[in-house]
Amino acid sequence: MAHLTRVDSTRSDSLAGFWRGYLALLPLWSGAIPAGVAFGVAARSAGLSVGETQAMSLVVFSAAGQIGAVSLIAGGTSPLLLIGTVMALNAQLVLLGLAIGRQLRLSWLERLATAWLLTDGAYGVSLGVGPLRLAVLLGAGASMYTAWNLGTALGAGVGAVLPGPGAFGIDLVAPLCFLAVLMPLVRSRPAVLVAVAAGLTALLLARMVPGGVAVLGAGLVGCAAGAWLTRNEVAGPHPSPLPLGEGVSPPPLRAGDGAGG
Amino acid sequence: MGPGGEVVTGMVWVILGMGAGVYGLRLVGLALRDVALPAPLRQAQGGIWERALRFVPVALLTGLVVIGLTAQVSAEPMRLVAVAVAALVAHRTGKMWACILAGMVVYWLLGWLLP
Repeated sequence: MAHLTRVDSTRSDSLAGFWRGYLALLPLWSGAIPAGVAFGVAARSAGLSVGETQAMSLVVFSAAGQIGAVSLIAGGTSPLLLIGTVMALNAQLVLLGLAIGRQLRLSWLERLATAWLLTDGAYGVSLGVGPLRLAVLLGAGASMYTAWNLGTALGAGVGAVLPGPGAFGIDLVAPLCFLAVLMPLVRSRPAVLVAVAAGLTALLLARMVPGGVAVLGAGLVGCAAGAWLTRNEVAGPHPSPLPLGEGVSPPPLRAGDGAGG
Repeated sequence: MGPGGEVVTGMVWVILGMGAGVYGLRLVGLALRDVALPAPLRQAQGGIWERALRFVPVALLTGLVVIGLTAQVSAEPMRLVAVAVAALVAHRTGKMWACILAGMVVYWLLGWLLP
């Protein structure tokens, strides 16, 4: 009986976390829906059917990757090059998964589910909600999945009913969202230097390689810099320069407040 | 259908291939935790791996902010001003809605004030 109650409370806890994540990502809908519309319109004009366009958003679920792919399809590119480009545009997802795998202990079933919904936005927003939790991460991921597919459906079915992603500077919302999560994390000297190293790397790579590879490069250089900067740290219970060690959480950002209005 | 016609015919397979590729990327990082790193390697160099991974959020988020700004549809200087103000607000308040609101309001104001 006691066991049953615990399972129930865990379940309602997870459900609450899922909805927190779902709502916390709502600010990013403002960018995701217009981007989805833009993708839907571009895919239709590149010769894809409504079904193919929607299927791509349901299966691939990557704004940068899909928009990149569609511009290549319009130019008539080979399928292998298409797949390679879409993967290069999403290369940072490897590092994202690595970071999540370190912060959460997930079963294989949970990893398979998480991988389905994992995006930069969902990870960033989940970090802002508090200590990283699977339910929050999945909720945020599902929220982005909803917005992206809704936007795609609008764009593919109805056409450009909404202003483009660049209108009113709406494309600024996603970087601002990441910035809000980032700022509380850079309160120590190593963290500031890591941010500088990663920022410069991204700036340098941005003009040379697809976005995902640039973000991955920034991540790798930043991590290497961080490891080097903390090389004199004694092993054991580390005097964490970042509030993100196991079991320690960043100061909650109360992203839900923003979603609530 | 134009020059892309041939590609479009096999589109279902291309879509599935792209989906599998991206899903694989998402899963690799999550899977690597206990597959690719045996304990000796993880302990090597005084926990260099652990120390490096601790900085993933900062490094990755910085990269995302920079790429998000450089890949903008229109990258004007006033975006940088807006982002700087938003960064200050995020630093002071620690609230996401305040950061987004401050950045957007400054951006709109600048666009309205400057020709």
